[in-house]
Formats: sequence, structure tokens, C-alpha cells
Amino acid sequence: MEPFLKIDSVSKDFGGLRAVDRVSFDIERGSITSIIGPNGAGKTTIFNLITGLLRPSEGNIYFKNQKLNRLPTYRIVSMGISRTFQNLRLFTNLKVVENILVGRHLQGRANLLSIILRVPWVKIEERQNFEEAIKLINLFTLEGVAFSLTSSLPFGYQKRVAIARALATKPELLLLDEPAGGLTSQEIEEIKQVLIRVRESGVTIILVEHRMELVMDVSEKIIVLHHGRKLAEGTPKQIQEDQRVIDVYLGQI
Amino acid sequence: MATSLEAGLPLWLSLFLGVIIPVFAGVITYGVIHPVRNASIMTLILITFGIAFIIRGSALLAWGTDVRRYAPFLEGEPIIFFNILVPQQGLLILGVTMLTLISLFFFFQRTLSGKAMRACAIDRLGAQIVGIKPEYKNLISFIIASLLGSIEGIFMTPITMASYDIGLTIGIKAFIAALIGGLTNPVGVMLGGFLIGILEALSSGLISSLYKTAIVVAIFLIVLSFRRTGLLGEAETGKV
Amino acid sequence: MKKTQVLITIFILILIIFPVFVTSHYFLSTLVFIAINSIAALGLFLLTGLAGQISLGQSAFFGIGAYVYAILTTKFNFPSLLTLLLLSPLGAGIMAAITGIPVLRFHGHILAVATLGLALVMYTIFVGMVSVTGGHAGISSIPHLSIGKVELNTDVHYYYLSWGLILLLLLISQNIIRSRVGRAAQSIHHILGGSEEAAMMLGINPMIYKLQMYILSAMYAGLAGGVYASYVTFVNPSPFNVLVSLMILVIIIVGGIGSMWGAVIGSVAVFLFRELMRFAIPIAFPTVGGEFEIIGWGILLIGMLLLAPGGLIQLPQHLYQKLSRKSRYK
Repeated sequence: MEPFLKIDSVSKDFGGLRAVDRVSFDIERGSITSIIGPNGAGKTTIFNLITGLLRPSEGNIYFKNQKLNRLPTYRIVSMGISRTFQNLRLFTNLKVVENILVGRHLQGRANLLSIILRVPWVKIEERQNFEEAIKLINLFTLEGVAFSLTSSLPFGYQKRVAIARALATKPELLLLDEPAGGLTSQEIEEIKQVLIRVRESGVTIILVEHRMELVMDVSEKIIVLHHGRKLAEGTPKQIQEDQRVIDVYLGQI
Repeated sequence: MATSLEAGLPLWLSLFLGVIIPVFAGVITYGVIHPVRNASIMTLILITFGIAFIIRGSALLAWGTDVRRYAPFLEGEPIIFFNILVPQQGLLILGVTMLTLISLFFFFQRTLSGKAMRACAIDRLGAQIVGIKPEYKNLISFIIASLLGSIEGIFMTPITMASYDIGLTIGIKAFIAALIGGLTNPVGVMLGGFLIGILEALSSGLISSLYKTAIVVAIFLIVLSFRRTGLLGEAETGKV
Repeated sequence: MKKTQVLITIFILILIIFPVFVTSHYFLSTLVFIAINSIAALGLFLLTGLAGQISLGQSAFFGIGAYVYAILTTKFNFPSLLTLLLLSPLGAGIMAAITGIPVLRFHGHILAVATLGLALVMYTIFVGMVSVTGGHAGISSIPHLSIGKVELNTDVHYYYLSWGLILLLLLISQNIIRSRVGRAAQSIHHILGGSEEAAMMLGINPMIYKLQMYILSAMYAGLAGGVYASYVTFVNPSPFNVLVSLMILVIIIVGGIGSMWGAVIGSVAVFLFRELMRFAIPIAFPTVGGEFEIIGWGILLIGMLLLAPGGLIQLPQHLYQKLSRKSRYK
């Protein structure tokens, strides 16, 4: 059986710089995988390649047996992949609940014509959207700030909004780019619980992460990147004992 | 320029005034934009429109709706060039353009100041880190822009005449020319200018002077659809 | 929310009973023009205020709407109601669909120049295609709008028509803003805080929503053009030049680019400003002719952008924040 997500010998060049160098790995459905590596190792680039913000210079990316290489981002998202950004990119011109509602975009059918004509199912759909958004708000304990502008929130809250928004698309595969960045240990513990619940609901998760507390506790598999190449792949225990990883990460864990 | 010549002022003084006053306007524009220089593109564009309105109105106030002109700098028989009649003023314009192009090229490519300006355009933050002050460079760029505008006006007037409302059309075409040629490259901008000029002349002659605007816009859209940064421009570096 | 609803209801009531008390032609026709401008400005709001796509091309669509009405009713005897309500907006919309696809790929200043270029071209066509548009001489004897057997031929008729239309469009626009489509449009407004990449990552294709807003705003302007043509019964190219596009942009900036009511408030404010200048300038500069007022527009534009970028609608909030003694988090 073909793997859920297949990265097949993918490379990405930026002018003279090879940011990703013939990286290959597979992701099993329902798993939690972490991609780690020093800064500049190519981790976020891999996310950009999977989600279509960048095109691979070489190699192929397959999701549920379909080739993603040349597809536009919104198409890839409609196939069931969602992601958060390292710098969040929340819609600061919208409130928290509205951000999440935008996440529900693909679940809706309302278009300009049906909205102008005030067709009845539009209202029903909006109500449904709202109910689903509230569920996510509850999951991430954002009740108090649901109607605030995201720009006025503390960073920890903003992070939760970002993940909630990505989840609103009802993805099968969720890519989280440094979800623990800038969080306190307490907040990381909360994120960990959320991730486990999300995985239990059937979503496959890939993390790019620096905070090892989260990585080691929650991942089934870890992939280590260095200078754009895959250095090692294995369970947390295997990675912790891998000499090459220790050499590269000397003093960084 | 026309006014001071008519008033009997000598040529060199008129030239000086014709340049210094637009440059002064450029400095004022800088002064207005400076406090809000970090605002959105929309705001900045609109501010320059606002200033353009004020200048246009002031021109109207100062000179009314008359059209003014003065004699070309070089009188004499037009020269015959491959069966085409070229007025001597035209040659002067060509010469001045070449001179300007060469000096600009030299400025941007060879001098420290010019290279610093290019650095600001490519990566503002990086430039600041190495000690370049973008604000100062902005001022210089406004001065250069108004300088060039005034030179163009001075030399073109004997041929095309001056009135208060020529600014808008020329401004738009200049902007389009710059975008076609590539905003980051002075050679490209010149190239764009030549292209537009030739295009206009050709369509004026072959099709109709009315549609030359339409054709310029159409070419603009086509070129920019294929090359976002213009024919010779460099792409801005974004985050890697 | 309650307070706003009360204000709006009062506003509508005043609108309805206004002509009972005011019958001067000057006042009523001015109000008709304000409403017409508001319709075009509201369209621009959807495109620029909501979706963040700067457009200097509204004058082109305004003109298309006007000329479509003029030509179809005079040369082809189309029924006026159908033409005004359907065909004028449709004509503008089609032109928007065609020009939008190449142009909306650009952002920022390039987009501004491209739309400006289109407006310029459209004006050139209005002037140039003399056989169709009558060139500078224009088209005259355009019939007023007739609904069934009733011909709307007085100022009062057009007052209710134009204000009725703008209120209807405000209602429609509000529905759009608070909908899936409205949220998608706002999510790509990258100046105010949206992000095209983040929106794409939620499955939104930005081009589709830019195009929809572009076409919709053109249709609003086209409708306004149709009403204009049927009111004035005469069209020529001069009300559709590029400066008019700029004026419409000034209207939404002065009124407030963040709210659809900015279109109406801006139209009123701009009109008042123009009257002020018409009054004050001859006193200050007695020897000067009409176009001098452009300096006033320049000063107004710059003043608004520097001092009150949120527009007049933000003014109460703005002043409140400045005068308030409480320290705030931001």
C-alpha cells in the first residue's frame, strides 16, 4: 500500500544555493512525525514544497497517490493538507472567530450570487460555520477572546488561533511550523495535549520543531535534516542515540 | 523657464531657475512623504497625487491656461538624416539624453552614493545595518527625479510647448515606461522610454494619434504579464 | 450595534420625508448626484476597502454604464428599465471581467498604473469612436427612466430612485461583507493585515475573489452611470475622465475606507468641500478660474491621509482616543 505522504528525492535550488538536497521520506497515515535540524537545514522549505508555495527543482511529492508538484496551493489544501506558519500570518484585520471562519471556507458553498439573493441555505450554512468555529474555540480555550482582534492578543493566544484556523479546514494532514516557538513550558504542555487529541480524531501530523521537550514526547518518528540533506530517521530513542545527530547538534539539545 | 525668458532674464539664469524650482518642489514632496514613508502603498500613491494636484493648481494660478513656448536653443536648418528631417533641437535632446544616461549609469554603478541607493532599493533593512540611511537616500532620489523632470521639460518645450496640464499624461507615460523597462535599472528605464516614444510615434503615424494611448497601455499590460519586473529589472529579494 | 441601527433608521426616515420640505431643484438634484456618486464609491469600497485592490478605473465603468444606457435607449429603443437595471451594470461587468484577468495579477503601484491606464484608454474610446458615442459632442435626448407607464421625470422621482438604490446596495453590500465571500475578500487584503499566502493555505484562490470584487465594483459603477445618463439625459466624455476615478477614491478615503458608509459620508463631505471652495476661492483669489479648486483637493487628500487616515467615519473614535485619559495597552 502506498504511503500517505511520499517525499521522493526532492531538491530545491535557489540560484546557487541548494536548500533541499535529494530528501526522501514517507509519512504513515495517523502518525505524528517531527522534522528537526539546525536553522537553515531546510525544514520550512520542505513545508513550502509540500504545500505548493514553492516548486521542487527535482523529485516528486505524492499525497494519497497524487502528485503535488505543479498544483497551486489552494488545490493542495482542498485535497486535505493544512499548515501553520512560523510567523503565524493571522488575519490581523479580522477577529479571532472570523479568522477561524475563514478556515471554514472550503467547507462552505455560499457564493456571491447566493449571498446577494439571500437564498435560505446560506443562512443555515453560516449558522453551521459558527457552531463549528465555537467548537474549535472551546478546544483551544479561546472563549474569552473570540471577538477580539487578533493583533491585540498575547503571543500564546495567537499561536492557538493559528492552529485552530488550520484545523478548521478539516485536514487529513496537518503541518505545524514551530508550534512551540516562543511558548512557556506550561503552554507547550497544553499544545501537546491538543496535538494528541487532534491525532486521535484521525489527523496525521508533521511538526517542524526546535523545542525538544515537545518533539521527544509526542513524535513516533523523527527526521533529522542538516544542510538540506536527510541526516537520520528513526524513533526518538534511536535519534537520541545516533552519533551523527549528536555531533551535529552538539550542545543544542 | 518660459516666464523668466520672457521677462528678459538671461539664458543661464533662466536655466538655473527652471531647474531649481522643480527641485525645490521635489524637496517639499519629500518633506510631506517623509513622516508617513512607512505607510501603505495606497497612501503613498495618493499623497503624490495630492501633491500633483497642488502643483497643477499652482501652475494654473501662476500661468493661467495659456500655452507658452520659447525658441529652440539651436536655430538653423534641420539636418537630413537618412531621408528624415531632424530638427537641430532634436539632436540636442538626443545628446542631453545620452549624457544623462551615461552620468546616471556612472552614478549608480560606480559611486558609493549610487550603490548605496541601489542597496536601499534591494534590501532596506540590510542597508540600514551597514550604516546607510535610507531617509537621506530617499531625499536624494527625489532631488534626482525632479532634476531629470525639469531637464526634460526645459529641452522639450521648444518642440512641444508648455502648459499647465501636460504633467498628467507625461507623468503616466513616464511611469509606464519605467515599469516596462524595469524600475531597478536606469538603462532599462531609458529603454522603456525609448520604446514608448517610438511606439507612440509609430502608432500616431500608422494608426491614429488617438489610439496611441491605448496601444501604450496594451503593450504595458502584455510586457508586465510576462516579466513582472520589467524587461531589464532585477527581482526584489524576498525572504529565503 | 443598537446605537448604529437607531442612527440608520433616523437617517432613512429623514431621507424619506426630506422632499416634503425641500423642493428646490438645486438641493434635490445635488442630492441625486451625491447618491449617484455614492453608488460608484460603494463599488470602489468593495474592491479597495474590502479586498485591498487599488483601482483607479472606476470612471471607465461609470462611463460604460452611462453610454450603454444612452446608446441602447436612443439608437435601439431598448426599454429603459431593463437597460438601466440590468444592461448598464452588465456591460460594465463584462468589461471588468475581460480586463480584470490580466490586470489583477499585479499589486500595489503597478496595479494602480494599470487600472489608470485602462481608464485612460476607455476615455480615449469614448472620445474616439464618434460613430458610436458621438465623440465630444456626445449623445443627447436620452429618455428618462420609465417604470411601466410611469415616467420618472422630476427631481423628486430621481431623488427617491437614486437614494432607494444606494440604500438597497448598502444592504446587499452588508450581506456580502458578512459572508463567506466577504471574509475571503478581506483575508487577502494584504495592506490591512490579510495575507494572500495564508488565505491560499486555507483553500482560497485569491484571483477568484479579486475578480469577483472587481466585477462587482464595476457593476455598481455601471449602474450609477445608467442612472446618471437617464437623469441628465445627455452624455459626453467629460464626466468620465481619469480625474473622476481619482475623485471616487478621494471620496472613500475622506469618508473612511474601513466602512461601507464611508462611500455615502465621503460623497456628502466632498460635495460640501467643493461648495466651500466655490465660495471661498473667489474671495481669496479673485482673478482665478474654475480649475484652481484642484489645489483644494490636493490639500484635502494630503490632509486626510496624514491626519485622519481612517476617514471621517473614524473621526469620533479617533478624537475619543486622543482625548481619553485612560492609558491603553496599544
